[in-house]
Amino acid sequence: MLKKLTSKKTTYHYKSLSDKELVILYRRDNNSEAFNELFTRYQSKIYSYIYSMVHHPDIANDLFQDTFTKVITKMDKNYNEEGKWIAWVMRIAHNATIDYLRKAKRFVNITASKSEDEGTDFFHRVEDEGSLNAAELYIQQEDKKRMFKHISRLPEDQRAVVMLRHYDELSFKEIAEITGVSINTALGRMRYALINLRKYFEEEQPSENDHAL
Amino acid sequence: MHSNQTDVIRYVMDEMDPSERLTFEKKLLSDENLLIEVESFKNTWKRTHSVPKVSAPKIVQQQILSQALTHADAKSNTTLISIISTHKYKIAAGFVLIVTALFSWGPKGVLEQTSSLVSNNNDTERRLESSVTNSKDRLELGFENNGQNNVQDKSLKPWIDNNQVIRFAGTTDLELTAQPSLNLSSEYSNKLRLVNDKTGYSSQSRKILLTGNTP
Repeated sequence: MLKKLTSKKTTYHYKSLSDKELVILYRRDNNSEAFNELFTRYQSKIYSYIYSMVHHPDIANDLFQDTFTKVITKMDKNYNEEGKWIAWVMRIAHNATIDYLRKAKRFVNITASKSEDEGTDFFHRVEDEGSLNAAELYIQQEDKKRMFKHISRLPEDQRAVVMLRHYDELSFKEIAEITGVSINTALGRMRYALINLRKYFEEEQPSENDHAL
Repeated sequence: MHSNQTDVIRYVMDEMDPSERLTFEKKLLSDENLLIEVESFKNTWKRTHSVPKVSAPKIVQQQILSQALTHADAKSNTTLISIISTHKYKIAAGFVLIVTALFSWGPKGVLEQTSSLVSNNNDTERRLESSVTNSKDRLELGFENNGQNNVQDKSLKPWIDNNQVIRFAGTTDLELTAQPSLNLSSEYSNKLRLVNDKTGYSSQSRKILLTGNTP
């Protein structure tokens, strides 16, 4: 792999390169195009994770920017190429988010202050998923909104495990490392998260039936 | 947590290796409650897949990318400096080595050149001196440097050839600006004339051969 990436000025087909190769190009050759490709691949997953944890667009923007400032400045020293790059970035994003939530809890209960309108901006920026007609699109949007609300009701530690698994497809070993717990604890949190979500869906059923009547 | 409970999640999340998976599936066939729980978790997890992904605002994306570009530029600018600072001792040692080599070669070369010139001059002088010492007769000859007191005398003795012509040969150092003056004690020297002998003379050693015979 390293032999394939020459240090001379070469035009690469960045989309075909692996994360590891892109990281090498950025670290060794200061190739900003390689970083652009890495960023494009993962920005929505990282941003969605942060947003799902804080539920506020401005705060999510700040935390997202802080995360990437650390990624850019500390990648040379702190990132070990043996591990997945996205797992390393997610650890930074997770730590930034948890730090923010801990600080915020000292002053206000953010879950209590959440309004119904929050998240509107989020759903306006949801990535387009193809050619759906207006009715289908509306149903899908409503479904997504509902699901997002359910997930936002989960306790932070459970929500973090669900989102890290959902957005970044990380293994439980990686999730355990990022969140600083054992694999069994991470699995347990996922179990409780699924039990809670099931409960929320069941709570939702009667109200949907009421609307139908 | 109970190992059976973690196994359910590992099975639903597809985190089991094939042998574990087979064993667990066998257990599912014999345990209806376990099967119901697994299916319930599978459905719930499937529903979470509809949670949307959202991109960061464009302005935030642009700020981050420009930050990365600036950082990369700054890094490439400092690369040369860092190479120098990392290998400063090697560079200094190399420089000292080159300077030492130049110094040791330079003066030596100059000395060699100088010594070769000196030896050429010495050879010429030696040859001329020998011609003087081999001459049978000698006479006293002096050149005066006008305005200076460094007068050099050479003794040259005349000799007479078969045709009764007086002849003499010899050399003496001469300053370029010097006006030669002959102080010959004999009357025979009245007809002597100063001739330039171009053989064996160089610009470093201007000398005049006094002879009655043209070389």
